[in-house]
Amino acid sequence: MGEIIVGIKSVALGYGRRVVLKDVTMQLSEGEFWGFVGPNGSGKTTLVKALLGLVKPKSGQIVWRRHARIGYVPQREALDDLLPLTALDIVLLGRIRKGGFLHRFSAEDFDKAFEAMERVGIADLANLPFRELSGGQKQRVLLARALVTEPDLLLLDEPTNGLDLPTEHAIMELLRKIHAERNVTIVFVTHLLSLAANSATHLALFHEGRVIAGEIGGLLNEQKLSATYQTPISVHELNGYKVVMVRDKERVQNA
Amino acid sequence: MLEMLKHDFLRHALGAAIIAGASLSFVGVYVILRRIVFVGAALAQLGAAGVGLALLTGFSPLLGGAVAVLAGALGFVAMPQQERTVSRESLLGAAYALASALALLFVALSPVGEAHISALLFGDLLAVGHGDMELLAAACLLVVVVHLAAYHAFVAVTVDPTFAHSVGIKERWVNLLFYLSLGALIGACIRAIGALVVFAFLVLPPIAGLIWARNLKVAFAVAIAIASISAIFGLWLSFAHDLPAGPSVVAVCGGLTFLAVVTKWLANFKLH
Repeated sequence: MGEIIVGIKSVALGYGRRVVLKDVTMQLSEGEFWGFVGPNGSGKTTLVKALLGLVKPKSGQIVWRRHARIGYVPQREALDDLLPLTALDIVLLGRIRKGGFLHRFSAEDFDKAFEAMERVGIADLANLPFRELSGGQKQRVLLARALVTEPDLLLLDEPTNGLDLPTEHAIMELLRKIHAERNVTIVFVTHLLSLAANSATHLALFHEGRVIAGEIGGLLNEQKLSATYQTPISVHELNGYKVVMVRDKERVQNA
Repeated sequence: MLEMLKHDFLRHALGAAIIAGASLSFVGVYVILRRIVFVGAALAQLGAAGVGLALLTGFSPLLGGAVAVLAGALGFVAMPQQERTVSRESLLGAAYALASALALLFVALSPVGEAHISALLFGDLLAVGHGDMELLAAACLLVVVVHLAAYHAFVAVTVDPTFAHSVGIKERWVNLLFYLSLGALIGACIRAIGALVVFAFLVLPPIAGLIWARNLKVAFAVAIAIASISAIFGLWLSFAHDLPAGPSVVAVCGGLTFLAVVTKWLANFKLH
């Protein structure tokens, strides 16, 4: 196991008087690939916001390794189509230092931005307006922007939402490649367990205000998943690809 | 047109309109991108109410307008981010309606009376003196310098506040600086060009800039150019046809923006 990047100790999170998550305890270490899995409204984004420091814990502690850097990748819809910015302009935002005041981009900033764009396969799109790119291309631009921060932890909030299957597959392949090449810690937020199951080394299952976290081997089995979701769940392997399903008499649903 | 420049008061009016128009349209690009047009409208009306109150109480109208706008900007920053029962938009609407009514009431009650109501809405460009113009230029220059120094912070927070936070940009402070600069600019311009012209410059040229530009710097340049051309031709129209200055400038500005929108639509139509 690598060095711990962030430790979450008995944390409760919420807004106002409402508690969204309670008693969350987990630690994210170097080189791990985490899948944060749960339905909409289960608290995944709240935990992401807490990791970014945007939501303060109601109780407990979140302890970061000193000088740890986060590369945040939102859903591509987070950026307004009104913005007249090129793909390169967006990626360069990851090189902003000194709080953005009196910052001027250096030749090194541009080199790093092009390098990151090359890594995610969009170097040829650098001067195109972001709003004119396809969904998959936009997501790659946002990934490049996160990579250019040279992160210790890459935090991706449902990056494959609304993408077609081939594009979703390509993004997941890219993430696996980045994880393998750079040994960066990845947190991948999704509501699709099957998607996380095929890339993650660790899972955090969000269910009814709780988070069950651990290595994928210990969580991705029928007994554990059925107990967590209180419904019969089966795990299958098809051509080396894991598929998680709810067992149903008449039909099966993708969990 | 050159005939117009022979008169001192028209040269001052032209200078003030160009300086105010260029600065407001520059900052207005962010107003459109952040989708806070109603904030601009509400602040402009608060400025008018401040000017009205100053006329009523005998204080400096410039100071009255500036204080009211800055207080409004601070109030907007202090509004809770989480909308529960009443949205921020609704509160801004309420502030806009109340400020508009108060502005008219204050002026109607003041010794100078209703003669000033038109000046409150459309400003008093032709009354801008040499000292007024220098003060306006200094205030606008200060705001533009702040915007240039904080350019990347403003862009990052406008584009994606969560990402900006993740790279160490203090979103709350950047927003505070942005709204204070917006308030200061509106406060400085309100006496000279009035609430409606301030609002027109904040919105119309940036729309044209953002419709045509493929990058942000071009959007700023187009917006500033349209505001400046509107100021020049609007004042010339006013001088040549004996029309009120403020509405003439707004009419030209609206016409140019409409032209930009139509030509863009036609260009897209040809492409497809």
